[in-house]
Amino acid sequence: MSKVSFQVDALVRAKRRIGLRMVLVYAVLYAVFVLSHVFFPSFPGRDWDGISWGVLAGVALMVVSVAMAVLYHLLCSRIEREFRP
Amino acid sequence: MLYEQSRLAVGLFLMMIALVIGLSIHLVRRVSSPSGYFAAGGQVHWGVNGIAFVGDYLSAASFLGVSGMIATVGYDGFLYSVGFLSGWIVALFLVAEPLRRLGRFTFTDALDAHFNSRGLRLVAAISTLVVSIFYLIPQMVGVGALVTPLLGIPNYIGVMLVGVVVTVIVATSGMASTTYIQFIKGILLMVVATVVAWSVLERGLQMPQSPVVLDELAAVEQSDGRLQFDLPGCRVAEDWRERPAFAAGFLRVYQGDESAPWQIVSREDGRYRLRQTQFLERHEDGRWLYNGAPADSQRLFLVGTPARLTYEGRDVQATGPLSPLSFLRTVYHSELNLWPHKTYLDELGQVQVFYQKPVPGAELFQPGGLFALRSGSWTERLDFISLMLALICGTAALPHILIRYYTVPSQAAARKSTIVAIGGIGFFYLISLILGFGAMTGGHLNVMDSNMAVPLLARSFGMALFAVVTAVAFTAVLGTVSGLIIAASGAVAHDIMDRVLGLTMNATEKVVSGRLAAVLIGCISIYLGIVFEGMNVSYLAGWAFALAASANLPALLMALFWSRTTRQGVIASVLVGLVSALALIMLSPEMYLRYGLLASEAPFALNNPALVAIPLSWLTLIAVSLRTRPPA
Repeated sequence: MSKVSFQVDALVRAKRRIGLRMVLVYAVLYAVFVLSHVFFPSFPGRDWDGISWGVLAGVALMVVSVAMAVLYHLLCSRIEREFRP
Repeated sequence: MLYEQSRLAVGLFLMMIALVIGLSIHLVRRVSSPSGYFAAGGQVHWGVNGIAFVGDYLSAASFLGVSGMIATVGYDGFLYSVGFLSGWIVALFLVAEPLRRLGRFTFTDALDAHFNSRGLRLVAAISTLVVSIFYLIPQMVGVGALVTPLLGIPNYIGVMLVGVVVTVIVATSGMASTTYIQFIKGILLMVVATVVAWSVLERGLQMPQSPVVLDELAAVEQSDGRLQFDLPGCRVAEDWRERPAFAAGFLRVYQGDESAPWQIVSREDGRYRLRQTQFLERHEDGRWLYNGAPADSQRLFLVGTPARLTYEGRDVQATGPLSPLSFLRTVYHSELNLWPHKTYLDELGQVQVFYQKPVPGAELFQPGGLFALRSGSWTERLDFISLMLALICGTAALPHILIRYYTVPSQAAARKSTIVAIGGIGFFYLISLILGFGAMTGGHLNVMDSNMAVPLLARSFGMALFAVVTAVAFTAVLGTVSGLIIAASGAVAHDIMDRVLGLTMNATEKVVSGRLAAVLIGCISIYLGIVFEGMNVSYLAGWAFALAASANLPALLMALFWSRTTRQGVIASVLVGLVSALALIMLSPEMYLRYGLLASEAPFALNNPALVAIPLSWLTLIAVSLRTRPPA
């Protein structure tokens, strides 16, 4: 195996590791969101200063999606710089 | 009158058609190779591709369906938004870069990269076709809902017109024109949604100035069991107590030649108080009747108003301009007139009755409108989990989304374009919350067509905004349908004709075969758009997601991440996922309603098959791969 293809494989593996870890974190958050509706169905209807917990949780999950996407990009970019010949 | 035609709307509609066809013809010269036709040459800028992703994804199901669902059932519609957006995280973290690295034109390319198997290519192509066609249905249904009131033409002509336009777009310059149409559409959608949401907030909430007054009837039960009405000429059937309508909480009252189900509001000591409803039923000759007459008789009336408006702790007539948070807070503390519906079977067939029900705002912010989670029923709970599973797993397995990764030059560009998509789509779904509750309270809701909630909300601000919104919603459908058709034509021309059947074709012939396949898929989409008229488009999209998630995602992820995966395992997984998801959809309560039967008779209790079909597909892949592993 050439040095370049070994480096490409290592880069792919490194990014894959980050992706798998981050998707796991997100899956847990999503599962908590879904299961809280299943087991505590009146929870989303309760309010915090007139805004329902359900909307707050849903919007928070959306914001977390964007934040994690940006974080993933920053981490991948850093690794790509490290692997750049 | 529910809908009226506007010259401005028709003008904008025609201008959009001219623009997209002009663009397609302009780009046709650039499309001489399969790479140009199926992947826009692979040189699209990541920013453009990201917005095109937004345009590709925010289909009729999102623009019309999600807001429409929030407008009619409240919070449960918002749960769709959360699920739809979450799917993009799976796409970004697990699929975007490997797919760009391994594939060329189609989803099948990436799946088959390590196996080079003709059988695998065939099943993956079939799966792409089935998923794309299922996703085409809600788009075409949405376009029928839009074009019919806009142009004043029958639904089937509207669907045919749009089907022809979109087929022309794809059959001329393929992914090149599709990309730029989706890019334009993505920007337009976000701008228009922002303008409508801003208008809703600027207007604030207000009590209706001329509220719809529903007729009421009173009846007294006589000693012989008959009902005596306060209005002369009204009567009910002799066996009215035995009728399904009565069991559902209604009485069918006859006045002259006509009859209608009335809601039983109260009954005490043989005294009944009845209230007018809106209803949908099938006539003996097979036509659908809306409030007892054909659709063009305009008997439906618009609803959706506050029953009580509470702003900053006191009841008011109008709030004035509101911030997004004050808007949601005011809805939460107020009481709104909703129009839920019940369905029963009588001698003429299925009857769907919509009745007014004042509901406290707080109740609209918890599950119940679609998912009866508070009932404690495990069927409802499992159905909800199944849908949310389909939504998070489905996006990363939708072929028309996946092929967009081939249009950018690198893996980093694929990643960056996905992040742009997540930002744009997330922003749009946040706005949908305001649009949905704005439509619920704006007095312009058609209870029988939730898909029209946003256009009708726009109409409450004037015909100009209505015209712009319908024209943009029309491009929303065009952009997504063209993406779906190109994905399906790739499956036929590139996967099946070229790589499965091994037909020897030069570059030009491959492009021509792609174009012919696009025409064929376009014709199928027109037919399906007519057959499924009237269903909520987000609901239908949920099925497409379930199919994609069951048939494609386990195979794709395992092929990318599990080194023991074998081609036999992938083939079995795709087939099992596809067949089981399709079969369970056909046996679901919602389909039983479409067959004209009762939902309770359906053999499979869940409406969404993902909870069963995805694990089944996954287990099949693991079991078959382990059994067919070549010796070390």
